[in-house]
Amino acid sequence: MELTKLTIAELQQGYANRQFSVTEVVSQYLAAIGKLDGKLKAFLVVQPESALARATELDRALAAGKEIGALAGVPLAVKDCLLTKGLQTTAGSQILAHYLPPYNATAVERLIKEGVIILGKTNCDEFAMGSSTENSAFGPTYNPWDLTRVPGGSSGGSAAAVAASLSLVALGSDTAGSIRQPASFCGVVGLKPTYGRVSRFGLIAMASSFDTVGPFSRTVADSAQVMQIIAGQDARDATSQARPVDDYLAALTKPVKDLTIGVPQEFFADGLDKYVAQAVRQAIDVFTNLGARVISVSLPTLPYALAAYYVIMPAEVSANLARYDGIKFGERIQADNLLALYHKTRGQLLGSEAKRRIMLGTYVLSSGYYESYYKRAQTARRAIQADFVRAFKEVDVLATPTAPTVAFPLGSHTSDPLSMYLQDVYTVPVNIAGLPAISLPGGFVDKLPVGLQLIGSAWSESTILRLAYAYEQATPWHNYTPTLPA
Amino acid sequence: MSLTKNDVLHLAKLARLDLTAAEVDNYALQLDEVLHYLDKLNELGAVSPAEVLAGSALVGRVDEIEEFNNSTNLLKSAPAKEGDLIVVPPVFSANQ
Repeated sequence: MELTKLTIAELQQGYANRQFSVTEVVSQYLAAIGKLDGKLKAFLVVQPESALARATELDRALAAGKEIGALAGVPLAVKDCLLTKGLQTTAGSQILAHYLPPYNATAVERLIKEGVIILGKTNCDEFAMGSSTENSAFGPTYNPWDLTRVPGGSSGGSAAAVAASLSLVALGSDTAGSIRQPASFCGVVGLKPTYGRVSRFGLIAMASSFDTVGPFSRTVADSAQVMQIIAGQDARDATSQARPVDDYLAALTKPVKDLTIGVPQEFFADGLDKYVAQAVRQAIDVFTNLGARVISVSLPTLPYALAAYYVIMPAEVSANLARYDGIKFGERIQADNLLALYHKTRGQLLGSEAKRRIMLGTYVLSSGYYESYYKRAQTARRAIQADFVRAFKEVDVLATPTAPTVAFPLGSHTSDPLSMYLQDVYTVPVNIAGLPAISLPGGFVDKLPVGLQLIGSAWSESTILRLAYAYEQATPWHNYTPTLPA
Repeated sequence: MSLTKNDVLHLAKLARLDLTAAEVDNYALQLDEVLHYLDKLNELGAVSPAEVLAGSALVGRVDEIEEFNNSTNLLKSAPAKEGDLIVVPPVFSANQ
């Protein structure tokens, strides 16, 4: 039996009925990783011994009829910018090449308590800075649908691992699209929660006012189940909110007939690949067929979102990455005085995108430029937030493409940072406004997956999951899986 | 206005980054291109105060003392140590 194709619900039923053991499931996933990850490079580290030991423990508990947690025996891959106690966490950077965290990120800790089995850590752009996973200091990850193409980024390893069935679910982080864009490129589901819904504690900080943690899965229901566990307030993240967490799984099967879906025209302007546009428009037609009302809306400040992001984000990066100084943790390049140690350690061990963003942030915050860049960008941020608030007075959900193209070939944007930044044009406005959004398989162009993005108002994860589930049930896309050369 | 190599060197100094000559050349061009893109923000007019939203609310918590028992593990992360102390080079080198 091919256990790596089962959903969380199917695994749980199989465990309950003693059809197969946790050890068998974990063994099949580890075998798949062994067979395919040499080509995909989705994982930076795999921990077979610890995963199998945990599986044995769970099998014993199951046999003894003990309570074993809501996600017991569910294989999980974790993006390498989330701290895992005692398990190598590099954030894709040389400066953390041998870092062993002394504690778990809250999202990881909550999932461990519910019985997940961590298979390993997945590759990402250094400090989550990038849209292709090519900025990882440890080499790129390859797209399982076409090994000459990128998996997207920055959570490219998590997306590729789930798409190729090397893990059932994965955790990623999304600061400007780093969950949704790789989900789109790899043909899987990726959920970016409302800012404040999932604790950022233990997420290696990139831009703290945008950073979020969320799940990857092959089906909408699986993302709902992971989200159920990781959502909720955490005293160790002062931006995580006390609002009650909805029952996401129960919300999935509610009708969508009463929903109004807005299609923002600005997302279909210049720069969108015409075949991707076609696929997304066809996907939106499915909502009409499901009985939902689809209307056209406008978000006039949208064209300023990326520029605002590329001021505020580097400003936060320049502060957040100041901690990598070669003193308290991480790697160090020796020097004969303290200042030289800082300069050498940071200059030699931070990658080119990290250094580019640190300098950009230093520039926009420096005396004389603060007003013209940072203050203006914060004003734009508020204008964009206000645009979304206006739109959500008319509609329940916004439907858009996730990315302007399908997965692009490796190397096509690496020498031109601005063209890489433009990859985030449809995802970044959501982070600017702190809203929840999901990317789900919405069709194919040239045998490559296209992502459909559904954006909700703040705290409406259950609404976008419900609409995503209805779409998934009405379309065949999630049934397609990549065929990798053996 | 465009960014010069000297500007890049100044930024690198502020940000405590040693850059190679090739990096300085590249960053001058690339950062300049990005800064031009950011000029887009100048097109956006003022936002009326009514439309300005409150930022995300910070959450308070009870100020309780919590025992921290993980210092040994935290110290393990330091790249150079002598006993329980982190070793750093002198602030001034001998020739300064």
